[in-house]
Amino acid sequence: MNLKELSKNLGLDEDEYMELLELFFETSMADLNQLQRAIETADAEKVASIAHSFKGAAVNLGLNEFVEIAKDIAITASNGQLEDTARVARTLKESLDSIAGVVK
Amino acid sequence: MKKMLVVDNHPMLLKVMSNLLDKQGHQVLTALDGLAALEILKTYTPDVIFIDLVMPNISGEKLCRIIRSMPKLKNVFLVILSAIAAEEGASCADYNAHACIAKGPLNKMGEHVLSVLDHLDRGRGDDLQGKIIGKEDIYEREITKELLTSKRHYETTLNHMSEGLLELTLESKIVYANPAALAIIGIPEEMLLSSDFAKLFNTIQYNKIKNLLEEAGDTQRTIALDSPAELNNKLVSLKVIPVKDDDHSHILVILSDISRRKQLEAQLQRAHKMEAVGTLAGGVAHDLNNILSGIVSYPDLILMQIPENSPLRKPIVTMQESGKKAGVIVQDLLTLARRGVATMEVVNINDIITAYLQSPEHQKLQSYHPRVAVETNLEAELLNISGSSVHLTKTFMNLVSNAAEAMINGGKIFISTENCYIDRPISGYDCVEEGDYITLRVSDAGIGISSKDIDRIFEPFYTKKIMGRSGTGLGMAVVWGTVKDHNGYIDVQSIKGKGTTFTLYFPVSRQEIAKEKTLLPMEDYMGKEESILVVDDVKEQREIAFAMLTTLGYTVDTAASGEEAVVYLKEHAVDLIVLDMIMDPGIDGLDTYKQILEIHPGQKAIIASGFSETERVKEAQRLGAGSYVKKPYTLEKIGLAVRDE
Repeated sequence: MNLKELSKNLGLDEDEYMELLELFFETSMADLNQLQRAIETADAEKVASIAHSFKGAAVNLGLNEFVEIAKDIAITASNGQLEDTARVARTLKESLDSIAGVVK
Repeated sequence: MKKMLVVDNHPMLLKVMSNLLDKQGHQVLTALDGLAALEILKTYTPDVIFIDLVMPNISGEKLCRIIRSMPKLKNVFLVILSAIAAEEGASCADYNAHACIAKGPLNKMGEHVLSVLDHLDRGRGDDLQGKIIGKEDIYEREITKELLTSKRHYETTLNHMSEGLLELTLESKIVYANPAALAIIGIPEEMLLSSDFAKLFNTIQYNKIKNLLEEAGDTQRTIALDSPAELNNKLVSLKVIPVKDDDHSHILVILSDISRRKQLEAQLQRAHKMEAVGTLAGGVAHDLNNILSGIVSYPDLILMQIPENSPLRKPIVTMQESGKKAGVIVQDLLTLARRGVATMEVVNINDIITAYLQSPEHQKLQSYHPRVAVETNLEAELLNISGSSVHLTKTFMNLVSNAAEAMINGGKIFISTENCYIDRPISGYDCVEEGDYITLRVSDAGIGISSKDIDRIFEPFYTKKIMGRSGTGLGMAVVWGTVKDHNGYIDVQSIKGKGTTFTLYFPVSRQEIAKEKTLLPMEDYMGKEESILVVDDVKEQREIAFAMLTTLGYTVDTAASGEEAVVYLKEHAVDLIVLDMIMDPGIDGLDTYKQILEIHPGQKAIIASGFSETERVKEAQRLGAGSYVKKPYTLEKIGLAVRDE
């Protein structure tokens, strides 16, 4: 994750970007929990709702990787393939874990 | 420097906007959802409000409407932040907003926000209308489309439900109400949302409702109100359903308007009560009728045997009159049993009213209430109805008598009749169906009837015992029974201390009134020694019938039961049988007749009975029996019936 580049693209300085990234991380971890529960209860609509909110934030921060993940979640849910959604959720967890280090 | 409010459910976006606007030197407050926003708006009046469209609790769209309906915020600058606005194909005007910025990467968004604010500053806010800024920066639409379809699906269901559905937060604030709920509550949506649900009810019920909501939230069980509550002049039932989501808990309330159902239940209960009393009365009436036969029928025979100028005439006639009067009271009871035989003819209520007002009974009533005057306003071209003049006269008399009694210090009784076409069912004390009716209205300015009593005035003996009125206590019950037997309706309007109005509706009959029947001389129905068998289980009845029919010139024999009659007829033949219906413990008139028909097919018979025309009588008539004569009968009645066969 190239903080410098990301922040520059958005016209923010690194500190600012970091602050926002922290917030993103926190909210996304909460989203992930809810997502897992929604998958367990097969609540496809809830999954779509979480994905929407999550995607918005990802787009805001220019985090394309997460944007793609969000899209995958939505598509698999709408196709009723919740096992695939679960797989994507694992990917999300991994990605979030990787930025955990950055965010401290 | 401007005052800003940003409403969005994603904390990160709030931070972004906050930072951005702060840098520009503005004052920024944030809210995570519609409810929080409305709380803030109670004490803070921003110049610009940024609203996300997709939020839980109160949606962005609804929030916009609420804000616009608040007087102090009528002209506040509204900017929509949305990822979906473009897909919707909506324009800012739909939300009554000034501008619409699509969500996207922060730098672009930031630019758009600043550009919009710039327009504002330069007083060119209206230029932005209809433009969705940043449309080109929106990515994939699939996600939001799914959400929208699903949302619409639910919305359609919710919009068409006949029951009201509300969603409340745990603090009992309303975040959603479907159209049915809005209709029941009668408050526009903008004012209802974010208000306290329990406060909709009056103070007495407020605690009850609050407790209900708390209990549901605590126990996580669906509970209903044990008895209906009053809301907006309706009776409603409440069902509270707690819903637990991982991120928030809400309460669903299902609201049903049961006013109509309660009304129907009350009507049904009333009808059942009347029926029960009626059945009892009917049984008593039957016995009484038999006993009365002696007092009504014998005088005729005696009168025939004493000279014209005999001093015994008067007392004997008086005896007969008493007997007849008793018979009329028994008729009242039978009317209550709703199985009274009412001879239905074509009559005109105006005639009945006029006849009554000139009658000795009315004179007597006037003498008891000298300061009561009667004023009539009768429709000249009043249509006829199909009815029994005896019962209708009785009914009218009872109403007038009650009206006179209600006005202790005197007053006027207004009586009016009118032709009336009901094109829509009227819901009052009774529910009047559509059709042609004549109305009879009796109005007094008396003590009135309290709302507690008004439901029960037609109950037998209620007016006598509970309300302390004079009379038999059956007066109103007779009124009710008569109106029902005539397929009519009653409406009662009364205000305690002001007065009472009874309005009776009778369905119209388009037939002509028949000519009056005059009393026939006896010679017209004397017999020629034809043979008759009288079947009756009661000795006095047999003796009376024997005496009467012999006087009329027939040869009469008697049988004390159905079985005896059958045995008799095996050996003999008769021209006519006079059959009683109920002959306990033996077989009844119908079964007897059936057995007789096996021996003598086509056997002529007439039915004499103290009870009323029932299915069994009709059945017997279907098998060939002739007329039905009601006990106690006069010489003329039985004579005519026999002659006709």
